[in-house]
Amino acid sequence: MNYGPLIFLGVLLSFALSWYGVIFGSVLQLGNLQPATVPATGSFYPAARPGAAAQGRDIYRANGCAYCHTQQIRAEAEINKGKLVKYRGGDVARGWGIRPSVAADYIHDRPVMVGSMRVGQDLANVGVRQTNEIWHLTHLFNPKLVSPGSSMPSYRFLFEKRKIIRERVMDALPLSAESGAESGYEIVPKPEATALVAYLLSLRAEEPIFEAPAPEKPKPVASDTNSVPVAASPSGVN
Amino acid sequence: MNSTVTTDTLSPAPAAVETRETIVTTAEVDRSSRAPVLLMFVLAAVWFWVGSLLGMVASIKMHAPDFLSDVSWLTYGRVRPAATNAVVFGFASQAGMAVALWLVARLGRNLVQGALFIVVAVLAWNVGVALGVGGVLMGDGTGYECFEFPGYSSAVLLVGYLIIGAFTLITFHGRTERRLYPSMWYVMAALCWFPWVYATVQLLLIFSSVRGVLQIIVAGWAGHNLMSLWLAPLVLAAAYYFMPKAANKPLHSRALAVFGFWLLAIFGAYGGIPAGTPVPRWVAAVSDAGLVLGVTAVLAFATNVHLTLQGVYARVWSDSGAKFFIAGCGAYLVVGLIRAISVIASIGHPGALTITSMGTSQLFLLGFVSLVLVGAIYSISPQLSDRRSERPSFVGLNFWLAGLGAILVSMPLIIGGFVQGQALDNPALNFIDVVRKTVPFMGIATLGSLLVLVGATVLLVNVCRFSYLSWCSCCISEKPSTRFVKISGRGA
Repeated sequence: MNYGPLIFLGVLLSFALSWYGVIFGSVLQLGNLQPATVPATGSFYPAARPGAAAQGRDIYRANGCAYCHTQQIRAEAEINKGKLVKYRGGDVARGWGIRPSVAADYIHDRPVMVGSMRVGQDLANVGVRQTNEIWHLTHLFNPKLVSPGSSMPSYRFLFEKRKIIRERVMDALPLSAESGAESGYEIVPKPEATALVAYLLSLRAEEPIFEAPAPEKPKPVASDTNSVPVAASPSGVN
Repeated sequence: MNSTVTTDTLSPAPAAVETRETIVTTAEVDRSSRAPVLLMFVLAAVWFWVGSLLGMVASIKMHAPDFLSDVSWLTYGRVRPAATNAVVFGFASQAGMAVALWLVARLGRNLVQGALFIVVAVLAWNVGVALGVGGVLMGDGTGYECFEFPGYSSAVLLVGYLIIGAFTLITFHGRTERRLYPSMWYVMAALCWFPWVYATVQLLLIFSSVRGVLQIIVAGWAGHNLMSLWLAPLVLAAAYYFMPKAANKPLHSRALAVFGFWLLAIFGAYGGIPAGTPVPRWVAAVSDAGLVLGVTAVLAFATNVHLTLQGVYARVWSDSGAKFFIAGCGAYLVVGLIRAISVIASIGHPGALTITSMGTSQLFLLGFVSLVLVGAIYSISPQLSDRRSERPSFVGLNFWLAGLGAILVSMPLIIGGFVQGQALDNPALNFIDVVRKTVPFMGIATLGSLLVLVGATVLLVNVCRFSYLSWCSCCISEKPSTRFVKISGRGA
């Protein structure tokens, strides 16, 4: 261990092993992942996010929402005789999703923000759970108004407080006097807030696909031949 | 620390060595590294202070969400990454590079080459960090954990690094002491690994982007390697040097050090992608296996340190500077064990998205990395100033602030994470109540971050004082221009 070049060589080789194994290997496997075909309808999943939602993803990134909110459903499949019975785990039981997240859910996103810590709720399917735009806007303005006891900060800087001229504008938040609305003033969402809500509403990763089927509703089935094939692993590719 | 030891008790040939042209004495080596190393120490201390302040603000927001929430650039999701990046790139990487440069010159018995270029590169590095922290606060963060600095700052950082790294390698190449002490292996390895990791992030995430979940794989892999193969080896290099110095004994076993080094090189490069992440299962499995096997490297290091200090613990502990190294190495051991245990515990139980991960990374950064680097700064700075009788003040106080702070920041989060995980697994419990269970732990963490901030203030004052003293002793008594000419002209 006194010969410099030998140490360099060892250091580079051991690291190259990791780089080629983990990074290059997974790029070979997933680098060209295409939208999946939904078995039930034959349509493609996922669709690219519409313009406002794509802008909203930038707001989500800029304000670091992912430091408290994850976007990944984790669940273990329970399989009986080759058929998916149900998914185990708190995420599904909590109603955050009906199936685990898989690689295909994220192919259109840049950056992908799955998060690593659940100080707030998981948002992988928030667009399924809460479809009301006004609810989301009010929640961003002051979370405690719609979710008492919430530990989320308010995002007042995404809103504009304006003096009401003659009458309230159409998109002003419908805040009651006891929710802290000052008389003579109205709270109007800035374009950033509207875009962020469009992004949140676009978070719907529930489509059952080949590698992540949804469990069938318990009902008598005559034959197994048409049932959805089951893959327990969320590996994402064939 | 016994900074008065001028001859190197660690190397086999302690006397100054005859070179091709001249005899290089320790005093000359120290004088050549004075300007770049002290500059990096001062700027690192500044960023540590800034990062600790931002970290405290972020910590307060965890239990008082409306604190400063009306200002967009102070929202939690910007302050948290700004704090982490300021500490990782501004403080830890910079102080680590300074220690590395000093170690290479000291152990290799060579004058620091291109000190003027290094000074310029250090300024570039700090411009990069400032642009990055500012960019994150302005909302330009990239969204990849640990690599939030936007492209316009990371490019500057990489250029700064390449110059600092290149001249460290040139200094290494011209060494007159041919036997390589373990610290040298770690420094050289870290200098190779960092540009690879950082360039991978820039090319595959920031300047262009791989598809879908590949981003998670690249970011997780790189985030792990930034800690495990960049910061850790730099810090281990310092620990390997200063521990035997403090004990006034040679390192217990060179063979064990070789073993630990290659274990780190082989297993340390895997991690950061926990099981349950929506990526191919083999990726998470490889990452988890690497984390568990990587504990062997931690154990090899800890055993070596323990056997070196055996019998002299009490004497070494009474030295205020050496406390930093002992506590830091202890934190390294604890982090390694917690990571391995949580991997094993997470098998078949994937819902582990709790605050434990944040607690473990805080223990790594504030316990292991910061403690050892602060200890190294306190040991090195008096040697660089010509007034060696000057001692840093309140070192003991700084140790207790930094050490207790690190424990109070990390341990509540680690324990609170287990409580949170249990609660998350119980779907009957309302989510708001799950969050409420973690609030007391966050409160204790804020107290810890306050201690860390006060500790960072003591460090900043001390480092500034030393730089001022050594500036007085060199630049007022000597002409600065001739000094630089002398340095860059030597050893060519």
